[in-house]
Amino acid sequence: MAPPPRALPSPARLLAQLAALTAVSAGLAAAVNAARPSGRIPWVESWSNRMEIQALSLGIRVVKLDHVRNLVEEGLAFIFDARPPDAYAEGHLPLALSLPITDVEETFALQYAPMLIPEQEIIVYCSGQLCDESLAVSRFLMAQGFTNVVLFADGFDAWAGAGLPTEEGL
Amino acid sequence: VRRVLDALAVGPRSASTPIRLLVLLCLAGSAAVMLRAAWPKIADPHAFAVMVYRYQFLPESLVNAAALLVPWLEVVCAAALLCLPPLRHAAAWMCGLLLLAFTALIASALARGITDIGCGCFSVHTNAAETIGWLNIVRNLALLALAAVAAWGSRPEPAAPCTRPTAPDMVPS
Repeated sequence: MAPPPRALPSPARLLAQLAALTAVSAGLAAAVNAARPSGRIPWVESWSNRMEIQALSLGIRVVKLDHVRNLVEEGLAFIFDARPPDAYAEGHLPLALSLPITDVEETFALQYAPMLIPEQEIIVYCSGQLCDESLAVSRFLMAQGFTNVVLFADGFDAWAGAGLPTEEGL
Repeated sequence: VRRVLDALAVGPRSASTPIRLLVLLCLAGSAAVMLRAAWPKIADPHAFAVMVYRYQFLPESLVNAAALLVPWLEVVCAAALLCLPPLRHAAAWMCGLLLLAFTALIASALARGITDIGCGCFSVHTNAAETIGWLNIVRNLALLALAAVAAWGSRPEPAAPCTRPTAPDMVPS
């Protein structure tokens, strides 16, 4: 007759139970993520496509919605909307000026360059995390010698999604 | 009270009732914190993944996996703390390990000068006004103390010595 199984020693039992808890959690996570009708995310994603990580690697400061909202409320912001003109016309942040990447050099030189000093804080945005126009405009402005260019990476989608006021028209 | 504590299998039977009540409080507190922390992360995994990513700590390939796994670890820990006495000790350890990892993550971000990000602790609103700071670390250390008491109070007790009854005819003459 086989001897009865011996209980695992305490540290081994603890490790086995920790592994069991982790396995159950992973199973639940996989099942719920697979069954989710919307909002499912892949287990592995290429985050390097995101604008924010590229901005950080270029040394561009990234700010959040509250920072931008405070500046807008105080009327102190110098904000550039880097989206195409039609998207800007449909709705943009209050005080924001249109500076589409497609026409950035001429628009900036003619309309905005005389108004700015190099140390001026300039906020740039586009639609959200997956667009890259604001990053391109930020790089252009830095190349022009502006030292305080700031990226609002969450962009117009986050602003409008928070129910904050927008303006329409060019 | 003692009978209720026995029925719930809370704390070492040899401990006094106030100590066992303290253990019960720490078990329930740790479980409540874990459940409260897990819910918003499960409701919006993408937003939580963004928060994990903003710490700039994990390799890209692990960001989403961590965002999917962590909240369920919290839920399973809470369930085991509340309902599964045989796994309580391990669940309290897991709870403590998670808190240690979160604390290290926040401290590492602060040390690297990353301060303009949300904690991702109890909310995953990517634009939450609250940013990480040393208060998060103090709070986590307090929660870690709860988990430590829960782990101490739910450690397996040594089995009673096995005393096999001896039949009179088996007694050596």
